[in-house]
Amino acid sequence: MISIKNLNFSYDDKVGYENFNLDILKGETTVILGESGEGKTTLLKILANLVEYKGQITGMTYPVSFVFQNDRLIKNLTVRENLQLVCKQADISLALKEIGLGEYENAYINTLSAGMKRRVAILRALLFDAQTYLFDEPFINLDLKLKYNLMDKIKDICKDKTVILVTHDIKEAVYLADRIIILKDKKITFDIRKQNQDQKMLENILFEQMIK
Amino acid sequence: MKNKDKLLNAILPLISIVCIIVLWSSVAVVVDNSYLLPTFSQTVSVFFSLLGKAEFYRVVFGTLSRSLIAFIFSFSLALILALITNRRKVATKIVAPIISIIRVLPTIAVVLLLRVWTDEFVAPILVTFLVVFPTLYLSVKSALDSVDYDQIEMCKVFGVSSKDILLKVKLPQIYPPILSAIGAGLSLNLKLMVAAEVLAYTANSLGNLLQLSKLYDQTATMMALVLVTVILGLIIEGVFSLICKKVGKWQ
Repeated sequence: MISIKNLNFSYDDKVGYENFNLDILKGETTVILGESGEGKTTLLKILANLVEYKGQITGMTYPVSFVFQNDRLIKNLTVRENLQLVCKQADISLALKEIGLGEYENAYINTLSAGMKRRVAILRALLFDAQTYLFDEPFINLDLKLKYNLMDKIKDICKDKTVILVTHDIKEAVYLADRIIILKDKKITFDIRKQNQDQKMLENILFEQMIK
Repeated sequence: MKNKDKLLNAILPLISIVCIIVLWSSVAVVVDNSYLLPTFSQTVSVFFSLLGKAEFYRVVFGTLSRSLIAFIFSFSLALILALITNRRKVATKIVAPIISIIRVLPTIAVVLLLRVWTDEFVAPILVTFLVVFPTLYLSVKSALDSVDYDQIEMCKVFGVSSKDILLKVKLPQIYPPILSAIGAGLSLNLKLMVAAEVLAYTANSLGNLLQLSKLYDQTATMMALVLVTVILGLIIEGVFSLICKKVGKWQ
């Protein structure tokens, strides 16, 4: 179990998280839903140990794998070199072919479209061997077909891994999650475990909770 | 279309140079006074006769070596200071007014002052250093400040080694602007060195040769020496431009 206890975090003299608590079961996919500015990215950065905070976080294993909101690909390296920097053992050629980027293996990053860069960033995270995967709005700039393709890939590769995914898209949350949490004003306002509910019904429940 | 663009890119600069030569020749014909304005052919003739003299190469070597010494001092200090101010914002605030003062120092007055305090060899080196150093410092600092720290953060999350972060992430971002600054700095360095040598009466220098040509009313020689300085400057800038293109091919 990953346990966040009495998390306190503030920035630029603004209070962020105040005595925030959350327990996340290992080996399952937890999706954190919320509008922009609700502190979802901050929470992921805290879990990745990228920012200083007060409180206690236990159960995290490092290094984690992270898909950032901006791609953070190295512009002076090719696609292959970007992936090799992080995942030295992986079969990069095969992995790129599987996501439709086989012919771009030796292309420089700045020659790729936004959607292609996104795919490379997601592939980098999936090829990296970690126990915990953090995804921050991973499916930006992807069309529907690519998005579902990658969501299936995430489900497959991260089957027994701990995934914490942040999004504002309800359909993504319902498709991927074992558990869905809604965050508002840095507080948990709704928490539901996906069991056998009808997908559409669950989407409607989440929508109502989001707009409350 | 691409071939047409390539052809234009090659021809247009040549046309530009030919226009300058035609204008020069036309004005020289109108002025009709080789003391005031020698013709293009007179200047080129003197230029080639200079190239045949051993003394000329000694003089060019003298100027270039002093330029190089001044540049090494400028760049070394600029790099060290830029690294410090990049890491410590407090240092930036301390250094900033000093840089501003150095930038506005009147060059000619400084040469004359330094000539009182030092000798004819040290004065041009110091004044060139004082003029080029602030430009280099600001360029190197700007290159260091523009390193994308989001990428460094990503590397730390994925456990990329410090060596890989330096060699594959930081340095490739810094090289192109710094190399560009070095090329421009070297070219500026040379121009300033020649000017400082004129004022400081430095022996075995392009500046001194210019001064002597003025003394003996040899305007064609002066213009030929200016041409030498221009050609040297263009070669330096050209070489660095090629290096920058090679190093920054991913851009």
